[in-house]
Amino acid sequence: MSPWRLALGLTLAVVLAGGVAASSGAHVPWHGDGASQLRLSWSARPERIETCRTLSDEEFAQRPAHMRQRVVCEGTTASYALVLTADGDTLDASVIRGGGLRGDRAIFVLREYALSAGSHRLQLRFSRREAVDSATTQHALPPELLLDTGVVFRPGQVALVTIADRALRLVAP
Amino acid sequence: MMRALESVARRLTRALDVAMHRAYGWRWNPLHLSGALAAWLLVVLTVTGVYLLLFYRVGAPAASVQRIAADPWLGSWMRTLHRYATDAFLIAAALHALRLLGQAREWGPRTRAWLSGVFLFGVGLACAWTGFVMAWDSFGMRLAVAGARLFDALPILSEPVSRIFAGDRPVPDAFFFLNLFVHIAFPLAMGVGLWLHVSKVARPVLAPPRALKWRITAALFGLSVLLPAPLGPAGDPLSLPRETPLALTSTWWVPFAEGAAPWMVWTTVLVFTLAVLAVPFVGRRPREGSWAPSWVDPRLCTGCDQCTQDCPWGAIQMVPREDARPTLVALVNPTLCVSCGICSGSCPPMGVGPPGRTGRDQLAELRSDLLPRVQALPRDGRVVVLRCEQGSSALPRKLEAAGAMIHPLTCVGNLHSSVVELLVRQGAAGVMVVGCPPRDCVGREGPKWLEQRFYHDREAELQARVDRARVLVVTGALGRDDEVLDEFGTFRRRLLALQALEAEADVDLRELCEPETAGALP
Ligand code: SF4
Ligand code: SF4
Repeated sequence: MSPWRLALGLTLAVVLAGGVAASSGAHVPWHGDGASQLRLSWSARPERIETCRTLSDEEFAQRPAHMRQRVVCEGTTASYALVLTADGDTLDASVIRGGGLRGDRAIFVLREYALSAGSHRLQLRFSRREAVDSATTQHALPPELLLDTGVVFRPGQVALVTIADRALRLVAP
Repeated sequence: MMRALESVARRLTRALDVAMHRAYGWRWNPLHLSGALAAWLLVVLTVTGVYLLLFYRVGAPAASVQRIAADPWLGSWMRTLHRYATDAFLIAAALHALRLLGQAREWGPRTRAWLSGVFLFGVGLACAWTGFVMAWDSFGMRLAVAGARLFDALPILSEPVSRIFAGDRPVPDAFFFLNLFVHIAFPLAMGVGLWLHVSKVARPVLAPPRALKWRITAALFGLSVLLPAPLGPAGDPLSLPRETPLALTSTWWVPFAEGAAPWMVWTTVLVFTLAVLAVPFVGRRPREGSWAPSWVDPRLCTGCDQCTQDCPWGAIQMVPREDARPTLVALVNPTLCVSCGICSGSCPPMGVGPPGRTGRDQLAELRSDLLPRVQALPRDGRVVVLRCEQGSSALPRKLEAAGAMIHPLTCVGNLHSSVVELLVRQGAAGVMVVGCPPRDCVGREGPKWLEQRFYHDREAELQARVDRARVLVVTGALGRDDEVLDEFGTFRRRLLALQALEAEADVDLRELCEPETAGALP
């Protein structure tokens, strides 16, 4: 092999290897400088709304024997309104429903809002939209949850709000 | 459209070949072995991966990988080698696909190889993805978040995967376990993919020559020691890193996946995948002309079995004859035949080959066209160059200017040795055969079998009565035109020093090999 070809081969090998290393060690922007963020994240079972009534004697008699119950109930699943403001500006106002085709599965909330670093007053309301007298099952969401707090957002950090112990809580920072 | 794509791929491949030839020569051109190199890099990945697995902890992924990376003796470079080998594998696989596309080797019987190759490449990308997530540094978390966002757009899971990375609870061990499981399952799937990939070829080349594979491994090893791959800080769902490391070779898609709507990303993936998978179907040619499959003339076949041994695609098998002769007869399976024509050069009685390219067809063409032109030349100018059409397009012009008479071949493996014998015995001063580098043959094994037929008595061998001083086999790699011209000049001078041959009259090479029962033959 001629010295010229050897030098060329080595140079090319170094360039190619350097290319592999450079492509593997590239740094690519993700969130940018000084970004801060409010994140809402929770899952919960929505309330079940049931309307019950007592059957009349006539209705009761029409039922097949195995279906004779004096009180019958029909149910739906509650939906919720999420309203979020920061320093009085509305960041979000939306309706949240449970998962599944009938909306009767668990609710999952995962939302992110970019906010400038510094202190902000946050007001969050998560409330049932349907007005009913009785609606409940165990472990379901309370009809209304409120959070009203001041938060200092640090650059590069997420402030996280979640539901714990049946209440909205700021868990970070 | 497809032809334009093939043409772009061909030009690109040729330009890269010339550059590589200048630097390494055709014997060490890694581009000729991109497929085998990719297979070898899978071995490197497996070995380094098994080592890393010994020290990886599902319960503490970031800490365990940081510990591995901090070990200067073995861990650091094992991890980096694993990563660089991933990049090298994807590059080698992409170059391999580009090469096949440029050589129109992606359709027909090669369809399975193309489709399984796409599968291997896709699984390679997905495996790299899970591997980066395993490390759970800021980059791993970025990939996990990007992937979760895409999966959440599909109506598969009731709970959004993204909530795992919301930060309201630790990322569960089950996620890292599942990720590890998938990362190990992918290579197993690649093993199956690789088997499918080479299942239609005879004698697949799965390992590059020893020197080349160890040189490339050593280069990656040196690189790993000198430039360890970066590892970001441990992934923290509640922090917003300004930037992260990003392996461009394997995760180039991340910025797009983050910026575009998930439906757009999925649509792009779907459209691109379907387009790549459609290549063999869009690129296929009618099986006629130069793409017609080979066939056997059973009257000529002596049942010697040579063509079944030489066919690089396993497209020929020996079956019982329908006449009374006691031998088996060769039969071509047209769905496996790629029309490479290698069998034409393998058959002593010249009874097999694609239509118009059997040994007999070659002799007929020689007699009707080339030989009269050769014989019309002055005796010392009768140097014939038989060259593969796949080689340098500028070379014929240069050789003609140097006094050669050029005759093209679809592949030197097609060339029946009788053609050379006839040329020499009927007045050519010498015959130079210019083939492609053995590892870059579109017919896979043309130059290899040619060499053995001419110099090692492989059937159909060049007969001993042909003076080897009048025959020269040269490798005409791209970028090597000047060297081929030099070799032609030297050959020509050597021929001038030999005593001039008288042309023999009435040489009928067909009769030398014909079975007695053949009857009237073409
Ligand atoms: S042309 Fe001949 S050698 Fe080539 S694939 Fe077909 S049968 Fe096999
Ligand atoms: S090489 Fe020719 S003679 Fe031998 S088996 Fe094949 S077709 Fe028949």
